[in-house]
Amino acid sequence: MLNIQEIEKLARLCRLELSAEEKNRYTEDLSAILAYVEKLQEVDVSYLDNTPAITENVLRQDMVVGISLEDQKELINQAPESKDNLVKTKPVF
Amino acid sequence: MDFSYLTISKIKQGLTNKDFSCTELVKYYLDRINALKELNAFITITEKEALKQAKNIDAKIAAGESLIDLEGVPISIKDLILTKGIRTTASSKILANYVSPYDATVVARLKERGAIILGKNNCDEFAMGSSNENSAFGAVLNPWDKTRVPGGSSGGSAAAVAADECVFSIGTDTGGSIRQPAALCGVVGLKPTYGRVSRYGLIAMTSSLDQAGPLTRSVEDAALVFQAIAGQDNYDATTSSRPVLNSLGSLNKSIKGLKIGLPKEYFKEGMSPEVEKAIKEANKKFKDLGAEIVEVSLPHTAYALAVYYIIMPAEVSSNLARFDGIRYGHSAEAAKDLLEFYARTRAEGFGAEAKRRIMIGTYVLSSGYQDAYYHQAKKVQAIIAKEYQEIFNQVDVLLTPTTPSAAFKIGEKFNDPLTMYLSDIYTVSANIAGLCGISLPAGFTENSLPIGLQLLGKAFDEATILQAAYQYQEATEWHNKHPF
Repeated sequence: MLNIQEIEKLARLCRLELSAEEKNRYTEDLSAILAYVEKLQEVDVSYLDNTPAITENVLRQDMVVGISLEDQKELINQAPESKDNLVKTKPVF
Repeated sequence: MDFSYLTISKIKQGLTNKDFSCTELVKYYLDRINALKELNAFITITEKEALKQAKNIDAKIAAGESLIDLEGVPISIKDLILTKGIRTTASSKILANYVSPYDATVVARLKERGAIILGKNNCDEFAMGSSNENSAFGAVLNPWDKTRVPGGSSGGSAAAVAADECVFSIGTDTGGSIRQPAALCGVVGLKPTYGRVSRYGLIAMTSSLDQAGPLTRSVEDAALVFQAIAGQDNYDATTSSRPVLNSLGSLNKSIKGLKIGLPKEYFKEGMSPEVEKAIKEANKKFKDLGAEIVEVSLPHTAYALAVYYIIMPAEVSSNLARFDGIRYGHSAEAAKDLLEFYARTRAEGFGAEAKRRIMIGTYVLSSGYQDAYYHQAKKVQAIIAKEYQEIFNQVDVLLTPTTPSAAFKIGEKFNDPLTMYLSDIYTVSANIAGLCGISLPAGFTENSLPIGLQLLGKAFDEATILQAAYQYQEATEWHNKHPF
C-alpha cells in the first residue's frame, strides 16, 4: 500500500504537478496495480544469473552524420521559444 | 461503381483496367470518412494531398505506365507514427500541434510503394489503453455498435478499416494494441516479431516491445502490407538482418499436417462462453483443414501480464521524460522556475493514464524497488520467452482467443485501470516472449459483435501464421461480414 507522501515524492521524481484529487486517485490506483504485479515474487528466478537479454546486439561504427541547415532550422522551430537558431529555456536557478 | 470493402488486389485490378480512376477511389473514401465522422476514427484528414497524389496516379495510368506495389491504395496511419509535414499528435494534448520533420520508416516504405495517405487515426494517448477512451481527441466508437469501444490502442485504425474508411491502416502493438482492436472490430491485425519492422519514427512507448503492423480486411492484404514494411533498417538498430521470407507464396498451401497447440492456461477462466464456443468451432475447422490439434501447457503464461505492467511503465517513464515543454510540444504558460515549468507542462499535457504509467514506472525503477520489481520482471520475462520458444519445438502455431470477451461498453472499464489491463491477457505474451501473432475474425456473438481468434507463431515465422490464417479465412465467411 502506498500513502499520499509516497505519491507526492513519486510525482516530484516524475516532474508532474498533481491536484489533491489526483493524489488520492493515484494512491488507490497504484496500490492496486502494485498488488497485482506482486505475484511475480512467487516465481523462482534464483537459477538465472543476471537479467538476461532476449534480443541480440547490433553494432555499427560510431559516426557523426550531419544534417542540413534547413533541417536544423526546422527542428529548432519546433521549440516553443528559440533565439538565434538555439532553443531557449528557463533559467535552472 | 461499387467501391465498398475493396481489397488491395481488387484496387490494383480496377485501376489497371480503368474500371475507375484513382481520384474517384480517393473521393469514395474521403466521402465515407466524412459521412462516418461520428465514429471519430480520424484525428487529421489529408484530403488535399491525397487528391493531388490520386491525380498524378491517374495521369500515369492515362500514359499507359504500369503501377507499382501499393500504388493508388488509400490508407491511414495511426497517429502515433510520424508523417512528414502532417500533424502527429499521439492522441495527446502535449503533441496536439506537433508536425514531424521526417517520416517513420514504415510510412516512407509505404509512400515509396505508392500508397495514398488519407489521414491519421485516433488512438489511445501514446498507445496507452485497450479501449481508445484515453485519447485527448475523444473516444472512438465501434462501428458494429456505437455504444461500445473499438478496443485499443489502435482503435481508430481498427474502426476505420472495419467501416471501410480506408483499405488498411498501420497500427502499433506493444501488448496487444493491433490484435485486440482488430478482434473487437472484426478485422485482421498482424503483430510482426519484434525486430521485423522498423520502429524508427514510432513515438516510443515501450522500446523493447513496440512493433508496427497492418490492420486489414483480409489475410492476403495483411501479408502484402507486411512484405512492404518488413526488413532491416539502418535507422533502427533493433531490426533484424534475417531475410524477410515471402509469406505470399505460401498462403495458398494446404495446412494438412500443421501442428496447432492449444495452451490450456488460456482456457482456464475469465473467458466469455460465446468466445469459448467460437474458438471450439475454429478448432474443428482447423481439424477439417487437416491440422493436428494438441493441448500444450505454458505454466508461466499467468505471469505475462504482471511482467508487462512492470516493464512497460518502466520504459514509459523514461520515454516520456523527453516531453519537457522546451524542445517541442505543449509548453506551460507561467512557472516560477524550470522545475515548476516541467511539472506544470507535463501535468497539463498528459492524460490520466499516461500519468499513472509514468508514476508506476518511476516507482518500479526507483532505488530500493528496482530489484524486486524491474529485475524480477525481466527475469520472469526470460522464463516465459524460453517456455514459448520450447513449445515451438512441439507445435507450429498456437491457437487462442484474441480477447476474453467481445467489445465492451464505452465507460464500462474506464474507471478501473486494472480491469482494463486484463483486456490484454491473451495478447501480451506474444510481446513478452518476442513472438509474432495475428488476430482474425472467427465469429459473432448473439448481439452481432465480432469475435477474434489469435494465432501465435515463433519468432520471424510470420509466413506460417499468415498461411494458417488464410486457410481458415478461405474456409469461413466471417471476414465477408461488415458492420453496414
